[in-house]
Amino acid sequence: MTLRLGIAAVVVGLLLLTCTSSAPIHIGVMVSADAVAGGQLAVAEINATGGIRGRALALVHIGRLDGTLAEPALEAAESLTADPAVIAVIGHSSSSASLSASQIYNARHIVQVAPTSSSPLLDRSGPFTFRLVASDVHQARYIAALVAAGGATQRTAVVYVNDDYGRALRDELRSQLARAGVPIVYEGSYVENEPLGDVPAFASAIAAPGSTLLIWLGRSPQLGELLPVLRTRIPAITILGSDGVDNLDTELNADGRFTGVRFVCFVDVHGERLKLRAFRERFGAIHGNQLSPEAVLTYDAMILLATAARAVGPKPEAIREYLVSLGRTRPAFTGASREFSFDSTGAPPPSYCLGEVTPTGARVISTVNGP
Amino acid sequence: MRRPRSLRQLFVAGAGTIAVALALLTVGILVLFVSLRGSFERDVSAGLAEQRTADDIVTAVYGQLLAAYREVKEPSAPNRARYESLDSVAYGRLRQYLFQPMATDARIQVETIKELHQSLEVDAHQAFDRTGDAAAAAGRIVEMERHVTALDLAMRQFVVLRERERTLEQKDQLHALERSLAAIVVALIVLAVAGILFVRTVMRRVIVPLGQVSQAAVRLGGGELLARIPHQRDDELGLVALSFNDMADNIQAARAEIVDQNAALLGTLATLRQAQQELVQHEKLGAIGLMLAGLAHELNNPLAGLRGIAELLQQELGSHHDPAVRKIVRELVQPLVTEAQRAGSLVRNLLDFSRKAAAPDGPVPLAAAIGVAAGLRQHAFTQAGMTLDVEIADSLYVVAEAQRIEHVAMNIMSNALDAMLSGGGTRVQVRAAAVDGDWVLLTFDDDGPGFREPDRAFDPFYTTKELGSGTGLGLTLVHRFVAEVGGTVSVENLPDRGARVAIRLRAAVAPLRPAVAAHLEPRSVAGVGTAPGHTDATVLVVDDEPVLRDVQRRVLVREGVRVLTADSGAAAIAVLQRETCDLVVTDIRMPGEIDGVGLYQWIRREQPWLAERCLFVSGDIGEWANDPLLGTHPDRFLAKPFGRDEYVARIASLLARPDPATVALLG
Repeated sequence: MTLRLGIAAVVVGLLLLTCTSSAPIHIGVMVSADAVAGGQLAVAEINATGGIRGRALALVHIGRLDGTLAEPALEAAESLTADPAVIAVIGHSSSSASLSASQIYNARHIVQVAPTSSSPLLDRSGPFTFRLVASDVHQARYIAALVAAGGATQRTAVVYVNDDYGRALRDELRSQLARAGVPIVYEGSYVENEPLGDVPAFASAIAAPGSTLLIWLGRSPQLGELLPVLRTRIPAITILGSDGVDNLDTELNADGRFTGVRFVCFVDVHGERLKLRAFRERFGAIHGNQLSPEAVLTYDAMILLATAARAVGPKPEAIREYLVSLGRTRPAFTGASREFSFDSTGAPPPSYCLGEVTPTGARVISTVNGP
Repeated sequence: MRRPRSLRQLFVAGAGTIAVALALLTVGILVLFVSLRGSFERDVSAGLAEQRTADDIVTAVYGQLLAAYREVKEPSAPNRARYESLDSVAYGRLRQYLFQPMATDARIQVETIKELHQSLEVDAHQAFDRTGDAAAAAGRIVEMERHVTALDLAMRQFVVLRERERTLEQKDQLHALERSLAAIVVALIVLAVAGILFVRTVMRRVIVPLGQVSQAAVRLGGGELLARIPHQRDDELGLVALSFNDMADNIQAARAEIVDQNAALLGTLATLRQAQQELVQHEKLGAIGLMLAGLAHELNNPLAGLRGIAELLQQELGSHHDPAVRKIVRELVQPLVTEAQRAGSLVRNLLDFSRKAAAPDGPVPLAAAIGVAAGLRQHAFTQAGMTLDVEIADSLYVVAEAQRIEHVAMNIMSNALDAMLSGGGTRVQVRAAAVDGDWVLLTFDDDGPGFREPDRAFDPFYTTKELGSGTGLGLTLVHRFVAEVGGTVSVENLPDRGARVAIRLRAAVAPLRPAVAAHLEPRSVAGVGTAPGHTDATVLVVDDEPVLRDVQRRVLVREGVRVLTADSGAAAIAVLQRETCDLVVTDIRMPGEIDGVGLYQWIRREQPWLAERCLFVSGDIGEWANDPLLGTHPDRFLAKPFGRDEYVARIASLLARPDPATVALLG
């Protein structure tokens, strides 16, 4: 009797295994629309090489809920975690969105890989949250070092986006600049997804203390809004942006308004790494020159998760352990952008580059690895 | 020594322990429940703390608004510092919510508050940037105030959401706890009921039956063999009870068997003692027999001589012309003959009585054996004017000893003759028939006076004959002989007159070759002279006793026979080598190198035609009955003391046989 029951259980188990093994594995992608293309290209490559243990990989993107704000990110997280086929989520586009959604992913044991979120607050998100860029603690040091290298005569103004990204970066930069003896002559802020409002007044306020250097701890649209007016006030002002500026706006510099702007970047999309070149060629064949750093990092994130799932199976816990083991018991993962391994907070070692926008687009003028 | 606790005590103790454990478990669960309620209360405290945090945030935001307002009105470092400080407080408190577990609605509300606060800060910065433009600055302050109001409202909504969330969570937890507690209580009740049922069941099905087993074992051990365990359930203890009862049955049966065996042993012992006594008696009788055998041999020779002389005197003087002589013969010689006969009969009976029972010879032809006896008694019956009627089929064989059958028949015939002589009667009928398959019934019927006391007929030394006429051993020996061969004998008086002696003997299968006894055909007791062609016969009488030798010579001479004599076997051989004899009468036991047996062997070897005409006389005929050489001719033995008539009849019978010499010559 027991033998029959055992055989029946094995048969049922095999049937269930057969049924489940044919269903595709889902990975949510909550990044900007241009970066989703990087993820789609990775999924195509993965499925073309056998998928994950014989199962197809599918990308799940909720377009109406992408972006940088927290509320749609939370709604997206609720929706993705309700899908039992979802084993991981790549996103979100901003630190605020990634930070708020991370609590849902960690509570429900879904692996989260944030491609571009750099807020130090993410260090406390939980064991299932990983990111592909270092904490802004390191970026603030990098920026402070760049400012200090320019000499103490610089009159530095700081404008930050008042969210978890810009505010944390501002706090760290404040500390670093004070330590470097660089005074901040002006400090202003703006709110994401809202117009700057009275731009001339904003520019006048920046110019009033005689600022010669503007450190922009925000994103490119508001900078692009401010720059034309600001340059009429302070023609020689130097603009140094944080990584938030590094996107298609600055990469393409379509109307030339970002020319001269320098910015901190994580990925040199024009780099000569073999994998990056191959990816760039495949991506370019489909999407032309619309390659953003977020798209490269989204591509790396998808390949990284698929590699983990292939190695240890499509279980979030196993994938998480796999990611933790990189650089420890397993070799670091070689992506298109860089080598990846993760510390105890889920962050990779810092690696930065300094870019400059030219009339024809952005270019990397220096690269720094390590703190 | 400490007495072990009974199973019942142990069971009660175990049940009590379980009950105490259940009670402790119940108390523990209640304590846990109270503890969980305390935990809920702590959650309420946490809620209160969260409320305080919300109050801190709202207070800090309002403080920021006030500081911003002052900064716009009267810019100063302290005002700006206070603003920054309150900003840090508000944002720091908001960050506390980021990593707290909460529902998505509440988390969205936190993000809303955070964004309102961020907008408020941007408004403040813009107000600070426009300190030179009072109207513009005032406009940003108004905007700040709007955000603060919205933040305050959002904060209140958040608190309500969290309170509702906590309430729902607490209710869920409480319900879960209540369900768990209810389940535990039900489980405890079920456990208690099950425990009671278990205890009751164990008491009824284990403890009580075990007590019955124990009591029955004690009773059985105390010797109460009827102790049994009442019928119990069909379970292990029931099996034990059945086994116990079977064991008790076996013990009871074994004990009864032992009692029976003891009784049997006592009986066997009594039988053994009786057998021992009989053995002792047999030993005594055996010793007596030995003595009697020797005595009989020593007595028979003189008795034979005495009887022979007396009978010769009776014959010589019985027809004397002098009446005085005839009176002397009648008064003195005749009693002498009678007493000699009686003495001879007594000696023979004593000899028979002392003889050991021999194994039955096997199949005995009943007609031949009875014929021998009838032949011996026929003359007496004839002389008495009576009839001895024997009619027995030749096919009947019995398991017996031939001589004893002859003796039995002789005894019964003699008793009947004596009874009829004194009490009247003329006829004795002897018949035999197969009965019941394995038996032969031999009957002796007479028409005499019958038995006076049939029940005492077989008592030793019981006789109804005149004093001195019987030994009282006749029918006793008959009974003994018949019993020794497995048969029975009974006596009864016939309805009208007469008596019957009935003997049941085991039937035997007829042998392939007729027994030697078949030669024992009824013989005539006519005189030797009447034997055809033998009036001039020559008979050699061999006996070491001169008197007996002379008596035989005289009897035979009177019968017209030529008589030669010899006093030993060697002398007889000398005579036979010198003379032609028709018959040899020889004593068996004689001194010298050649006794009667040696003489017979010589005759068979040297004069075989004479071997068939040898008559052996002996004081103890039984001693020679089993001799391998002589035992094959029982019809040629004559026991001492013999009477003249019997002696003459035997001589005549042998002489009546065909002349052996002639037979030998004719081939």
